[in-house]
Amino acid sequence: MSAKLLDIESLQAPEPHMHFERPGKTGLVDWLTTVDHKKIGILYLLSGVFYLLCGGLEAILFRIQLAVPDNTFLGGETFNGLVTMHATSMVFLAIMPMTAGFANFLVPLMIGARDVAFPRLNSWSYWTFLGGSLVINASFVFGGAPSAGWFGYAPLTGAQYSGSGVDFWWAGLALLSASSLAASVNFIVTILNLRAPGLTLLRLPVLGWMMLVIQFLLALSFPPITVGLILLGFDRMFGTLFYEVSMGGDPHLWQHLFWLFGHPEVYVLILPAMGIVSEILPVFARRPLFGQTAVIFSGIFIGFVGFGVWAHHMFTSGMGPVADAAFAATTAIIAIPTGVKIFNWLGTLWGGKMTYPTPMLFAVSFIPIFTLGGLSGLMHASPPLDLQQHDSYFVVAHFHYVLVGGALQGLFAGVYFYFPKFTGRMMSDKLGKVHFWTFLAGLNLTFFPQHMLGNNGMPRRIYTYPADAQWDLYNMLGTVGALIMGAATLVFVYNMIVSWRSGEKAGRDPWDACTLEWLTESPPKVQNFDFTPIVLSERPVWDHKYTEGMEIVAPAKGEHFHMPSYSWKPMICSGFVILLVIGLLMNTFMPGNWLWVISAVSGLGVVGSVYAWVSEPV
Amino acid sequence: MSGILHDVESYHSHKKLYTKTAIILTVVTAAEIGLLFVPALKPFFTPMLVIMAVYKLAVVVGTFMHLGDDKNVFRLVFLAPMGMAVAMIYVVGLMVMPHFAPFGDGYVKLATHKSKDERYGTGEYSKEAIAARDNKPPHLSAEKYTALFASTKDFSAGKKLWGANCASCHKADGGGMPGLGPNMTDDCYLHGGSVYDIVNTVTNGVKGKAMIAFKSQLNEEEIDQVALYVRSMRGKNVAGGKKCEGDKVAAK
Amino acid sequence: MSAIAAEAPHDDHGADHGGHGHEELVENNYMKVPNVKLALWTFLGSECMFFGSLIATYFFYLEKSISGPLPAEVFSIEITSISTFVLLMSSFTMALAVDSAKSGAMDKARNWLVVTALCGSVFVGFQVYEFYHFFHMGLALQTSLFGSTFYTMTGFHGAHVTVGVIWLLMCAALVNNGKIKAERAVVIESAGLYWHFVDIVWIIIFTFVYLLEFAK
Repeated sequence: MSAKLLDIESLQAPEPHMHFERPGKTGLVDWLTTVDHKKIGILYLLSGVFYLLCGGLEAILFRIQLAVPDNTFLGGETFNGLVTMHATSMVFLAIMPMTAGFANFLVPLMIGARDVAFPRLNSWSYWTFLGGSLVINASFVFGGAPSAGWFGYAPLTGAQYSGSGVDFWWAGLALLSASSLAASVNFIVTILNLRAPGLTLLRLPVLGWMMLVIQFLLALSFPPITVGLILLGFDRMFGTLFYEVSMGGDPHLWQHLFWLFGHPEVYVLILPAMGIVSEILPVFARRPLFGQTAVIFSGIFIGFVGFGVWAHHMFTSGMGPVADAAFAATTAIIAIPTGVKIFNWLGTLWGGKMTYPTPMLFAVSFIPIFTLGGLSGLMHASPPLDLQQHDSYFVVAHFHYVLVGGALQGLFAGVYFYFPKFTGRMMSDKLGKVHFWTFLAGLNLTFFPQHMLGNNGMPRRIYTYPADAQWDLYNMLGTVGALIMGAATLVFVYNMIVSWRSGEKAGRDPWDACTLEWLTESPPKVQNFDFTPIVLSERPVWDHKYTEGMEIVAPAKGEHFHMPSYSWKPMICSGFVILLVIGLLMNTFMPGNWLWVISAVSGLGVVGSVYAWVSEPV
Repeated sequence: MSGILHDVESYHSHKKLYTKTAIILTVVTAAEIGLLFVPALKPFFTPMLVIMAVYKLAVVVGTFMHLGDDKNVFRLVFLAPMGMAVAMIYVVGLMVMPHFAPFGDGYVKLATHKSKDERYGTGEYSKEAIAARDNKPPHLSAEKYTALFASTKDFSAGKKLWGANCASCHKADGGGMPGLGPNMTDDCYLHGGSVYDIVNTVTNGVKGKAMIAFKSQLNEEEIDQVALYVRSMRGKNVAGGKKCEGDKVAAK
Repeated sequence: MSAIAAEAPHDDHGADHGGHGHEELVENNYMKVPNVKLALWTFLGSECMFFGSLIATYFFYLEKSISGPLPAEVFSIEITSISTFVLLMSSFTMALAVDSAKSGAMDKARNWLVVTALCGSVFVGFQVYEFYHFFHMGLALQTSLFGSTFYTMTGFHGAHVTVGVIWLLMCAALVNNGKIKAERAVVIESAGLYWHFVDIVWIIIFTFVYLLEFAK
């Protein structure tokens, strides 16, 4: 029971009586009923990579359409559907779940916990997310994809302008928001309450901090869009008038509700990538993160101010000069904490003993590419400039630099960095470097010319353009770049598969890294730690290796770990919730009493499964 | 499910506090409803009701939910979002509500803002009640307007406003257009010919007719000027003007 | 139990079920607060934004309906006052339920929970009557912006009350079959937090939607 110095090599494996393994479910049943944060994390990551490929395929298809002027490869409606689904997939089904995967797998390890605070709720979140993603994609089969753009502006999403795709879209997104809400509450409690002794908030790794910040962003920004989606659904199903201009409704309401969510969402996408980069740079520069506290506080500040900038997406909607000025000011202010972070990363690299394995390459390339995107974003903060650039390819270039060059590169870096922890095997560095250089080339080839396209007047979301518009060269470059990026991503997926099966074995700590997760085995055992670490600095594992060592609390004889057991209930409950939403969609196809029958059945199902859930032995 | 198990032995019952709180809540709610039956306090209704609602909220959160004497972290995760929600309501309100100008200016000029008459014109409910609420009386008395007209020599400001706001229906020379605005240069009026009446008509419009209420577009002074100009046109009888509509009044 | 069990009361009742129970992890309790209570407060923070958005929508469209009936024409202060009072008092009975549970009187706690759920049902009943009444005065969901915003906002509040009633009845059932003991009174306390929150949302709606309409 007393504290002692950690000596991993001589640490005895706990005797069987010391912890209870989960009952022997194997194979598919194990994955369906698991409440283990590590398995759920891997499920999230795999789903994210799958939808990344789907979204990429959609992008390549419409890039082919845009390659040459007056192309007839896709029709306008198909083009719109692919563009909408590309954005929806990338934002909600690729980057967010990959982030959730990192959060699930890493956060409990980083804080020295054995699992998240509510393991069954965690499982519910995943299945509800999966259901929501399937509902959105089911639109391809039932009546065509939504084609109103990913931010679904009213009245384009109204019943008279768009088909059943929008029904699937709003219903699926509503499910995703329920899933995100549950996950965010779960992770806030986990990070605040399950930290190991001594792990004060300022000793929390930056990635853990960014995960905490985005959980607050999710918890507080999803309700407005949930309301917006519900109003949209009511308009479409019951004929309410929220976005019905002829009855006094105002499409600006949707814009406000959407962007109240939409802008914090942007930070939900980028902050985890910033956190990953902040974890990777110190390891490969062999220096502690420069100004860690400043990096953390600037992340908090970005999250907070992120709620006060939403209307900069609406400068062209005629809000009046006072509102324009106010939102321009808050938007410009956000550049300050972002700049703080960038300078801190540079400060970390300055004078470091740098090595460049694949994760470091992605992390280093994140900095300039993200800065490019950030600077063009700062230009949009000025309303007069924004009026020119609004809805042009300049904006497309801006947010792809931020989201592909920023968020996605950060997540790639994270996958390469943490893959040994996920699977126990290293990813191939050779293939990784092929991936990195081709992806970087494709990325810049696609999106850099789009700055020029935007300045030359090419609007977003047009499915073709005339030859005399002089846009053909840059568009052709973009298409070639997109194909290169697609090929690079395939290399990445191939690398993952091959390395998972036969990669080089990794020990506990292949990178000589500094945070708690590297104390565990690779992959970690079900109970994560056989001991309770005591954290006395921001870099406990470097303390352990390079100073007098770190203290732990070893379990006393006769004590056992109490790991939560597997459960079917979360999946069943989430199944009924999804059924409830499918019932609403049925109303579109089979009007009549089906809505009420399915609602009643699934409502009772939800109540019953929740009762069964809470009745499980504690 | 719980992190720290509850210890029954060390717990002291709060029954008395809760009972007191329930009585306070009852009294305040009764006061809220009772307030509405005291017309003398009408100017203070809104602030008083808001204060009482916030007080009730604070009492429920503070005693029933024990936020007041619980851990800081609960206050952080609850009160900060509540503040954000209030700010959100306020900012969205700022941007759409006319009485929140100048923030609201942008949208008011867009199609969403309609006069009350347009908003309720097609409704079948209590037009009188709406009219009583909606109509804004002229800010001077009838005598003062008459005196003002007598002392006014220069009608050019009113003429300018006429050109911008009235001429599209009443013609630039005031002769009126078929099916739209009546002739303003004859001696006939549908809604009264005194300056006071004209100000009233311009301010509030005419329900069910094309004459819209100008109070949301012109300020009081501008309406006065345009009304004086309209009054000055009486009896000019321009060529090609519409036939007499409404009651004849004495020329000049 | 975990290695730092010394910091938390020693609790081994999970072993009754062969150690395969579902108790959420208790070993590292850094903030010294129950997980479920922290989760509830966080969730209620999120709910603030949810109802905030609905109320903002109501204000967004206040007085923008292009056809009647007007709020003042359909609202009935008597009915709403009674239902408001019932909901307010249900908060009182809920507080008593939590108090009884924490004092170890689980039977009393169960009874108060049922009484609270009953009050909630009465409130929902009043709301159903109110909707029915308004509908017959010509205000449907599709009639005007007032109809759309009013029914949606109060309807979602009513749905929250209904969920709360189910929640409380589940708690009562779990108390009844001994699955919630006094040591885990925090479960009832958390249900109570949700219930009080639904009550304060109604305090806001009652004043800002109903009373201020009469104050004009």
